[in-house]
Parts: sequence; structure tokens; C-alpha cells
Amino acid sequence: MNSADKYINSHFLKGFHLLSNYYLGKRLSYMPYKLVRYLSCRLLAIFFMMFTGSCAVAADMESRIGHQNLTSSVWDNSRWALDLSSRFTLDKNNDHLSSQHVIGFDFHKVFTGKHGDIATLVFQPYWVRLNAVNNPAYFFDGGDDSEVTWRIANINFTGLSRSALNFRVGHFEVPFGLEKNIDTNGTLRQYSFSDRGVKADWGVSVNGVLAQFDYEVALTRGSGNNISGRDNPHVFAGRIGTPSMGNTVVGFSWFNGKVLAAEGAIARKRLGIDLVHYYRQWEVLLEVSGGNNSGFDRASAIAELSWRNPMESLHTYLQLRHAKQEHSDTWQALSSVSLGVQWEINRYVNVSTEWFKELDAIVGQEKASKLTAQLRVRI
Amino acid sequence: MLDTFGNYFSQSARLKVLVAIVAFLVSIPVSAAFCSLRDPVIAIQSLYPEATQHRSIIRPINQKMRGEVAKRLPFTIHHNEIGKHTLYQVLKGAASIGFVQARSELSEWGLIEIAWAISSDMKIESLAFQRCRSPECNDTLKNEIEAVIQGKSFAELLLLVSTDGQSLSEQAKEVFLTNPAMHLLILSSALKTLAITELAWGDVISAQSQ
Repeated sequence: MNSADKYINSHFLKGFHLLSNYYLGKRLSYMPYKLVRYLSCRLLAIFFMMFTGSCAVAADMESRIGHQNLTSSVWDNSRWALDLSSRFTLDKNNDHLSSQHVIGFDFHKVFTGKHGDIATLVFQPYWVRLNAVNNPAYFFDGGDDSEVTWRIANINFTGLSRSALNFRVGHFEVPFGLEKNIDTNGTLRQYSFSDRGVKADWGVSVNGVLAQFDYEVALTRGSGNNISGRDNPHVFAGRIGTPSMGNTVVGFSWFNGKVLAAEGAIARKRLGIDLVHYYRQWEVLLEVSGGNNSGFDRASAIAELSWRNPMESLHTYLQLRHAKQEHSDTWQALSSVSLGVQWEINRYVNVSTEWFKELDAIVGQEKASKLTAQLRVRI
Repeated sequence: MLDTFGNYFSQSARLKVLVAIVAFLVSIPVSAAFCSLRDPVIAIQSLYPEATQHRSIIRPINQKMRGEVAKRLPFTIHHNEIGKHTLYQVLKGAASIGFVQARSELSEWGLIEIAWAISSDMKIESLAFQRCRSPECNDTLKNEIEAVIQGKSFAELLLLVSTDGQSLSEQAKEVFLTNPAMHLLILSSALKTLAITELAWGDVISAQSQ
């Protein structure tokens, strides 16, 4: 590493430490969170140095790969795409139209050496523009705002033991239930992450794939898109399940932590079971979970029946959701139904639409009814 | 009034632009996105139980290669398969013991992903169903196919399909007595796999066979 590189790298790390100290605040009382912060720093440093093409890690990787040109090695064994989408949501009760526009970069690279694969990097920064969105995520400054968000941004070290024991660091989907095996990033079709308050989070995990089962156990910051120490959020979650390539997949999950939201961190505990069964073009999914939010019990279930055409360009699904939430002196039931269609027009473009209707509502409130449509282009 | 008209015009113009963009995008040939090998670990473990590691070698498959496959076979890969694909070089310690590539094939009940084990002299060693939503993709079918195609080269496999590629050859019909559509689909997949592997990763394979 030459002196200029050292200068850049040391200042980059100092800058990130300052930022992370600002965001993480004064309450890093637990050692694991220091570890999360340390690893997050290192991960971002690797991203930065990889693209400057001048770090010791990359140089070591380069010598293992045996290539001559470092710059080309960044793009070797990699895939990338631009991901553009526009989503429009009509709240039928209030005749309110909102929209969300996204431009994302999707980069995937496998670091490999003479003795096998070392790690897989997935790097997906997305710029998101909201227009007239009600109840946006806490890291937006209102419903008319723009933010750079992270979908997935992690490196998974896979070269240690035939992928039976891998180590992931960065921003990744919190392992729980159906979300673990089914890709719902950027799609209207979603499962139960809203029940737990976080879909993807910054942290570390151990994960692996074996012939009999696969698993992931994660310790994460609990603040979602941003690394924030406000109210000291944290999540310890995991899922163990039968191999995802089968036609029947069963999994057991747990989730324990405090998840940051606009009003502060909320303690959430869950245990869950998920089941997927594929038969020809039909797919049945079920997830049942129970636990509590800040000490008040909660149970929820989601069931989905879906169908694809033989070409798999058309996907229709029907989802039913039911949840029961305990309050200080009563229980509240919430049910809803979603009907969705996704059409892969070609390998670049897909359009999708979903109709959502609440079947129960909080006393005095109208049952929500929404229609959403999305155009997505991946180039 | 002018504001209202302006807003209306603006919305109308935006709608036209949106319609034009959608019309352009829709004009691209219709087809579904094909999945790549989602989880090679289980397939590699099943195809090469003695393996200790694997190396991913990602290469582009382009239109020219698709054309080359069409010259060698009575069919070719789907145009959606243009893009980057992975060949897995399977290692035992530092030694290369074979290669794995997965292909998606269209069937009447969706895509079937088959992982193929290929030797360094470009012969089929075995197969594993990576994804198949039908109960027909079972060990009986796998063993039946393997018994016939194991150790066969591209030229030998080509003798098992008809000249137009639409059915099994007379030779193949003698051994595959039931479910000809499924056998043809799997044979087509094997042939396309060997053709693409040679075109895109020929240098890697040659380096190992020397």
C-alpha cells in the first residue's frame, strides 16, 4: 500500500468512525454491538478499498487469484445491474395517491482463489424518492423525501468449511420465517417483516448449507437501514430449516430484540414456524408466529396460495393475514387479504399490481383498502 | 384555471411518456427470467461427495454463443439465458476433480433446474435435480437417465435425439420406454450444457485436461 492509499484509507476509516460514533451515540454498553460496529467499519472499508483498487486485502486476494490486473479483478467473477422502479399506491378510502421511485445499483461478486471460493459480496445501494407517502420509514424526513437506502450490502465468507459454516457481515435480511428463502426485495409481494418491524439490518451472522438443513443465526443493530444507537436497539434472530431446494420446506425461527421505529425502540419477541410446499405450478406458504411487543402478547399468521404459468412469467397470489394483539384490557384482531399479479414481460421488465383490503380494523377507524401498481426495469 | 389546465396537461404528457416507455419495453420479446444455480453447495456435495471446495468461474454467454449452439444442435439456449453464468470447478484439496453447471429447462409445470457434473474430458458424469416442482423428478428417473448417459460425450449424446431435436432417436427409444418428453428434456439439457461449457469455459476445461 503506498502512502497515498494509506492516507485515503486512514482518513476514510476515521471519518466513518466519527459518523458511527455520532449515530451510535453514548450507549454502546454491550460488547457485541462494538463488534457489529467494528465489523461494519471494516466492511465499508473493504467496499471503499475494493473500488479504489489499492488495499492490502484486495492485493492479497489478487495474489491468490493470480491475475495480473487489479482493476479488472474487481469486475471479474461479478454481475451488476441497474434496478429502476416506480410504484404508485391508491388509498381508496381517502382517494389519496402516493408514489415511490427507486434507482438502484446491484453488484454481486464472488472472490475466488486457487483453492476455492473465499467470499461472496452483494452490494445494493438504492436511491429512493417518496411522493406524498403516508407513514414512511423512520429514516425519511417525511413522506416527500429522498434517501439513499441499503437493500442488501454484505460480504459472506464461504471458504472455511464447504459452506457449512459461513460468516456474514454487513446489511442483510434478518433471518426469520418465509422471508429467509424467498426474495421479496423490491416486490409488492411481502411476508411478515412488518410484524417484527425490520426486514434487513446491519450486523453479523453465521450461516450454512448442509445436506440435511440450512441455517442462519444473526446479531444485528436493530435499526434497519441506518446504523443508529438511539434507544439501544438490537436483534438476535435465527432460522433453521430443511433444504430450500426441496418441494416441501419447513423452518423454525426466533426473534428477540428491540427494533427502532420513529417513536423509539420497541421490544419484540417471536417464535415462528414456516412451511412451503410446491406442487407443479402451485405454491402453498404458511407462517405462524407468537410472542410479544413490549410485554403485550401477539400472535400472527400468514397463508398464501399462488400459481405460476409454465413459463413462470406470470405469477398470481392470494394472501390472508391474521394477527391478535393484546392491549392493557382487551385483545384486538386484525385480518387482511391481498391479491397480487406479477408479470415478467421479458428479462428486463416486470409489472405487478396488488390489491390490499383490511377485514378487521381498530374500533372507530375505516378498514383500509389500497391498490398498488409497480413497473420495474432491470438492465 | 391555468394551474388546473397546466396540471392536467402535465399529467397527460407524463402519461403519454409513460405509455411510450412501457410500449417500447413490452416490444422486447416476451419471456420469463431464468434462474441461475441458486444453491450449488447441495448439488456439488451430491454430485461430488469427496469434494473439499469449489471455485466459481463466472463468464458471459452472448448472442454469438447462442448462434454457435444452434449450429451444433437442432435447438439452442433460450434468449433469456444471454447473460452471465457460473461454472463451478470442483476441488479435492488442490486437485480439480470435475465441473458443475446448472441449466434451466422449460417444462409444462415450470422451470426445471438440473445440475450437471462434467469431467475434465467433457463427458457427463451425473446429474442432480436442483429444482423441479413435479414428483416425476425422483431418484428412479435420475438413475434411469444416468445409467444411459454416464460417461458419454457430446457426440455420443447427440445420437440419442432425433435429427430435428423434437423427439428421442430410435436408439434412445429402445432404452427410455416411458415418459419420452421428460427424457428428451433432460437429454437436451445435457447437450446444451456441454456445448455452452465448451464455448464459454473451453480454456478452463482444456487447462485441466492437460
